[in-house]
Amino acid sequence: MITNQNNSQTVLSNLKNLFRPKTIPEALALLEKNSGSILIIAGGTKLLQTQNNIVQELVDITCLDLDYINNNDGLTRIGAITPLQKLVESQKLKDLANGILSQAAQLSHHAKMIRNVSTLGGELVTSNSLSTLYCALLILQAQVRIVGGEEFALAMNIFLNKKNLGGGLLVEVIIPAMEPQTFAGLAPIFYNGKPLICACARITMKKRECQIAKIAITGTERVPQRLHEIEEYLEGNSFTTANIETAADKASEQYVPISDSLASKEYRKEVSRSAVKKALLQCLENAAQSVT
Amino acid sequence: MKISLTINNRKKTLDVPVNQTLMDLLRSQGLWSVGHGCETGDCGNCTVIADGLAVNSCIMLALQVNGKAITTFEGVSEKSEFSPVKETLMDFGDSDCGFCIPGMLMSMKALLDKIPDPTEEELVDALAGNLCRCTRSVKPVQAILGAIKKMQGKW
Repeated sequence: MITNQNNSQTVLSNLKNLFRPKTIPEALALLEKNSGSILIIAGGTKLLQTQNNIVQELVDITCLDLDYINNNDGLTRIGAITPLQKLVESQKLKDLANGILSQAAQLSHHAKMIRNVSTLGGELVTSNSLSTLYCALLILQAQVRIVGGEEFALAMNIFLNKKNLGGGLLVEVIIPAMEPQTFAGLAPIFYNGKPLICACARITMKKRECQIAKIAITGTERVPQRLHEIEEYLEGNSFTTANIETAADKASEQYVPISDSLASKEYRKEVSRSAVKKALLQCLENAAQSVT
Repeated sequence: MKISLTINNRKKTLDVPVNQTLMDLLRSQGLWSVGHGCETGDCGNCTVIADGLAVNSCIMLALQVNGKAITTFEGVSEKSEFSPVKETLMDFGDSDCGFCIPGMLMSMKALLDKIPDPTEEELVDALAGNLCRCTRSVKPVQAILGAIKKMQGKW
């Protein structure tokens, strides 16, 4: 093992250069010119945790103007280098769908020191499927805006399955406006202090009827999943505890969970039912609170 | 590469290797309170304050703090306002081995600078990344809550 004078393991031992582009085109030009051993760095927490010894050049994008949470024309736009802790503390996000994205950001890392530095873009590009942020963004029907040779927006579900930016740069996450009477809930099931399974639900109601349902779960399969069958079951029906029970029963029938060192597939199946039920009950509770 | 930064209120311009971590840079400056623990951001022993935010200096490159103000435990430990914290930590029998204390106190300072009267929940959240293997972080939280009461209005 290579060590330096302070006896710590040398990180990024092949790193030769760090560029600080001032504009997005400059950053893209650097990425295009040096493809292969070049990586983007913003917070850098994941990069340094993984002790990457292949990367030779870094593009530090913290000089780009991508640290913001805006709410214009009904759309919520979050810049890619916005630290996760800003998502946790943002009043705009706390007011959006019962603050589900703020809660998910808080759960994404238990340590505030990491959330102070780790960015939304970095989390989306490098995280594994257990990230609660994916789950929340899926039900909020978020899109990621990518600039490269051309500029395009990808729906979160497509981005999740692809996760290939094609040499482009993820610049922001866009969340559409929520319909009135929309309520959300998030229910994590923890293992060793980290969310093993997390269910998120967003329900739009008209009187007591569920008009629109968006439900997603993470931690059961390799990538987070939308639970379309349950959504269809709930839509057009009364949003009651009885229907929530039935929906939760249906949840575990929709997929074959993975089995790994953290939990067996049987356990995941059982707890995912509870997670879906809890998330939906939270929606119901938030709806009841809004009436009072 | 050259960087300019402020360390404990002293402006410095330093020539740093491109892959040097902030933890290594600070320790090379004789700031030994910056603990060398896990190197993966899990233990919190290397916690310092960068522009008002508690960060893990082991998973941050020195180049990333160019232009920022860094505060380590050395920068605040002599200040009298820290005395109630030290006293309360002793009262609660918190500091068994003491390895986690500088990092924990830096997390606490970053929180109190922003929220002078935090709730227990906010304190637990702020200290969640600082592991204490002796006390499992129960006593530090009790001690710091006690210290906050002592220091009300003095921070």
